[in-house]
Amino acid sequence: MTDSLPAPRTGVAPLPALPADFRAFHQLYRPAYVRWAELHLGNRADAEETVDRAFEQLAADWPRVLRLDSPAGHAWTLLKERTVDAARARGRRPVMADTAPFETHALHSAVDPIGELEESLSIYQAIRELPERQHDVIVLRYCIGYSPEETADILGISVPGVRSTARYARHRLKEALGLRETGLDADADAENDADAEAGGADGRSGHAPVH
Amino acid sequence: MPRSIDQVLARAILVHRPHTYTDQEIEAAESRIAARVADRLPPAVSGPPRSGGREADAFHYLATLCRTVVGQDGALQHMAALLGGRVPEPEGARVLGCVLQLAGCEDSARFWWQFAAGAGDGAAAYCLYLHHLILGETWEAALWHRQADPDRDPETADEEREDGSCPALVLRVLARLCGDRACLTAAAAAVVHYVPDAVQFVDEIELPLPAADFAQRIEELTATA
Repeated sequence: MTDSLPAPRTGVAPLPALPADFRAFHQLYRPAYVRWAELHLGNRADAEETVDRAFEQLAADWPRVLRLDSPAGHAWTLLKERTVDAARARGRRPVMADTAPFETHALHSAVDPIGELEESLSIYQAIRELPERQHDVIVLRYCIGYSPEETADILGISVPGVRSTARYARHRLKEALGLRETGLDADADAENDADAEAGGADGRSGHAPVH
Repeated sequence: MPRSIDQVLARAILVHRPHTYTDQEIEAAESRIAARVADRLPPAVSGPPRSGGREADAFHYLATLCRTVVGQDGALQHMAALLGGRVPEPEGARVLGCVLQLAGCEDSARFWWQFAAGAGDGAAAYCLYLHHLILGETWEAALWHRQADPDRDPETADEEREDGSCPALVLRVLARLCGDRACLTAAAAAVVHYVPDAVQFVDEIELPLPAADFAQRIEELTATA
């Protein structure tokens, strides 16, 4: 054992092979992770590097990660931590980028951009203020557009868990923005959930059914 | 026209979809990740991450800080004397943690720093801050940074304090002075060599405890200092 630091590696050695299940995990989750990081960092290049770092950390600890109850949940936490680090390193606040409200589908196709922008700014601000789990679900479901199943997969939680979190979040957003529910309160939650899921499965319709 | 929450949420959807990766792009990403993993030295050899950045800096600073702590007048004797008593005191525990870190026993080092920091030792808390930074554990790092100096905001870690001191700056300067050379006295080096064998994890308890004659042995080693 010496007191001095070990010499740095030199020469070109073959890279260690990544485990097959890690590579499958990476391929499956990378697009979602990059989209999340991009939403927070404001550009794709930074997002790609940040996601590389998160997967590096995951790979280095992979055998232990596989033994966890929710490997995907753990990986998601790592991604968020690396994204926060990257934001801070660039002097940004670790929240969704200020440009996000300007990039909605609705705004791009709006008849009344000014009115639309006001609404977009306020919903995005309200989303930023949600508690962490609710925020994650809303961003994945309603900003990026994943289905409840995809969202559950990404977060490493159950589909019912996603639905109930979304319900709480929707209620909170409704209160924050002073909006109304679409129908009778008790039934509306269940109905809206079902219809919102249908809207999500359709993908890019961009409009929930109006009651 | 007043909107419902569902209408508002429906209009929150963003234009840009998640990127669809080609096989080539995925393979390229895998290569980058594999290279990063390869750059991490195996845990048995406590080396700095080659890819640079904050983790590598933190590693150098921690090594410098440990050498400084261990090299302070009477530090080693302090450690031995205090550990020889009934209850280890924070200062001795701090020195022991630093000795263990220099010897590559990071887990044991963490234990003793936590002991010292729990008893209010700011230097040990700062060691833990650097230790967690190296591991990329930012939440823990921030926690210990606050403990090291409760009035300071970890976001502005590198700024000057009110009395003009800035630990990160001091460490940077010291690191530049020491470079990669040892900067340890012969006695301290002897202790660093001896300690890993003397401090073992006791099987059931999983605590890194020193052997019975630890204090005496340390005194012997440092008698010539």
